[in-house]
Amino acid sequence: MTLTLVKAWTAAKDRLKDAGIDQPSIDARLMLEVAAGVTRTEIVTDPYRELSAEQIATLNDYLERRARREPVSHIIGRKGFWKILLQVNKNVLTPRPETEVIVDEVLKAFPEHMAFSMLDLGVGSGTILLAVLAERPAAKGLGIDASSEALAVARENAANLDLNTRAALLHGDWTTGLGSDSFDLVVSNPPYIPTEVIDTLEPEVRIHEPRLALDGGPDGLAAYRELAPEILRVLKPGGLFAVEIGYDQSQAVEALFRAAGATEVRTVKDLSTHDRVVLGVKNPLESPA
Amino acid sequence: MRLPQARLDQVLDRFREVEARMGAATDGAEIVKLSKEHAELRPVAEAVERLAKLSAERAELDVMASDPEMAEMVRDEIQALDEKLPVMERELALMLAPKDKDENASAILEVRAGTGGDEAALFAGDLFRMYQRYAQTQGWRVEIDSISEGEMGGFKEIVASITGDGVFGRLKFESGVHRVQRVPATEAQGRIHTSAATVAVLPEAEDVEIEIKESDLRIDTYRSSGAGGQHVNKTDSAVRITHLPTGVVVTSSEKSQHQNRARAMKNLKARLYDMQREALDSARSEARKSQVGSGDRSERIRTYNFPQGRVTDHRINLTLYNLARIMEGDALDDVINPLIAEDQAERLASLEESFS
Repeated sequence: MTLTLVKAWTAAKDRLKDAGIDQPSIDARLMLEVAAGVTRTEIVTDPYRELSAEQIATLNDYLERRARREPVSHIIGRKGFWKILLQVNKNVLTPRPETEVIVDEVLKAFPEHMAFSMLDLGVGSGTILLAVLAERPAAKGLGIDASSEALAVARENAANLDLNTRAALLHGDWTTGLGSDSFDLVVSNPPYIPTEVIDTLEPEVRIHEPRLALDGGPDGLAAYRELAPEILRVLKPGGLFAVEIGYDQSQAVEALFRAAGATEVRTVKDLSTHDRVVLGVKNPLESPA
Repeated sequence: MRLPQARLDQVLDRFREVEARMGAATDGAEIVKLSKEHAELRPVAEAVERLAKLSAERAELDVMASDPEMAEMVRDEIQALDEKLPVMERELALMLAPKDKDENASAILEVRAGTGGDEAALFAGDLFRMYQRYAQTQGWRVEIDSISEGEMGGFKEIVASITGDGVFGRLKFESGVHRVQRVPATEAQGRIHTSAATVAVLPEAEDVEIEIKESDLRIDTYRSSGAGGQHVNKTDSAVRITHLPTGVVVTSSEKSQHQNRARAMKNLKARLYDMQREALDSARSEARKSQVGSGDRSERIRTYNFPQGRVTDHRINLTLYNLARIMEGDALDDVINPLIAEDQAERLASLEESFS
């Protein structure tokens, strides 16, 4: 029995649909691309190419895993973000499109050839840090994470993107050990889902993603309470911070940063018009001279 | 054709004026404008000068030929020039003829399955493949912006960006309805079916040409309904943009959300720009009825007949019997070149009208 690319796509889509997967068409295509080693263009321009027995077996394995609600990103081991492609696995939070809002805001604030230093707290797979460094050739950055498994992924990504000379990746507990007034920019996508909510989420998140990257404590704000004063400490005077937030956390997180002394605090929405990023500046007048 | 000397002098005068003003200009914006015009005029001015020089040589040869002793010596030279001059005049005339200013632009290619169900969807894929292969031979880059698949393994719609030099100039006559006649792979009785796909080629607008107000846009994502962010791990990063004043809707569903937004905006600009072009074209078509460039997307322009191995372009009554190589993209120029030649002839004709 032969299977062409285009038939494989349709069959895979039907199978995922039957399994109750939300976006069967795109998921099916992404897994087919990897299983058959083809690009999306090849699926369209060479639709009658036949899959080998081995490729069919791989695809079937992928589909079975997907039907059991493993995220596509874990199955194919990669995820596009901003303009880069990142390796991901179960030890890191899969990059979300909403996080691109942070990158968008940062790039607006820092011109292309500006030399600046950035810190990414809870760097995970390297998502924000590497997306920014890839677009700002004179910038350097430090990524901190409490998970050594996540750091291994981030290091691989930095090397793949040829950014390992400008991205340092260290194991640590948020800002512990970092000097004051050290960075022009601090970004973070800290865990912000209230503990109880996690168990109500889809299995892709609830079962397959690391709790460390999701769990924001009883009210989802635990990380911001810790981070707000510390981010303001390690930022240089006049420096910018941008943190991702949950859709309903704008007021609370803005208040935490204002209480820590930040100015120009504001919230930016994502493309789905949810509150998504809180930004602010460390008061330039507080310079230690 | 004979080019009026007054028109040629006009070109040279303007070129010298621009050159002189470039030397004197101090204002940055003016310098940019002048140097752009200079770059456009230079090949024309050089062609005018070359033609003038050769015409003068030709006149001299006539004088020499009137001397019986010299006639034999200059015969070959006269013959060579008599062959060369009309070619040069035609080239120059083409430079002077009204031009499509988007000739060199990159383009958005849309292929949509028309009537004919699965077979039409398969044909849409085949057509896209033909353009993708052709683009490769031209050194252009093809990036798919969105695909929607048909039921039985064809494609309902494929939208792609084709980036490169002169893409629009070569592909613009592809817009219209393409008809296919063949025995579908799914047809057990061996009967020939007729189905169709629609192709649209839109020039990519320069940023300055189309201004879009942020407040005129509605942006939708497939993540709008839930909490988004860390709460959801899904694959779809598609972005749909609606331009409220015109109701134009564009989507992009590849790669990251950022790239999807950028591509959707680019496609939106191309569509709005295309609407502007069409409005201009229909105003112009009163003056000039074009065979190849009518731009009517619902016009049936070409038939691909597989049993006979032929491709017929209905606009210029061209029939070719190398269907396989055309579908492979290798021989698409066999169709495109005559279309471009026809368009050039029409433009020259309208130039001649403007002289008379």
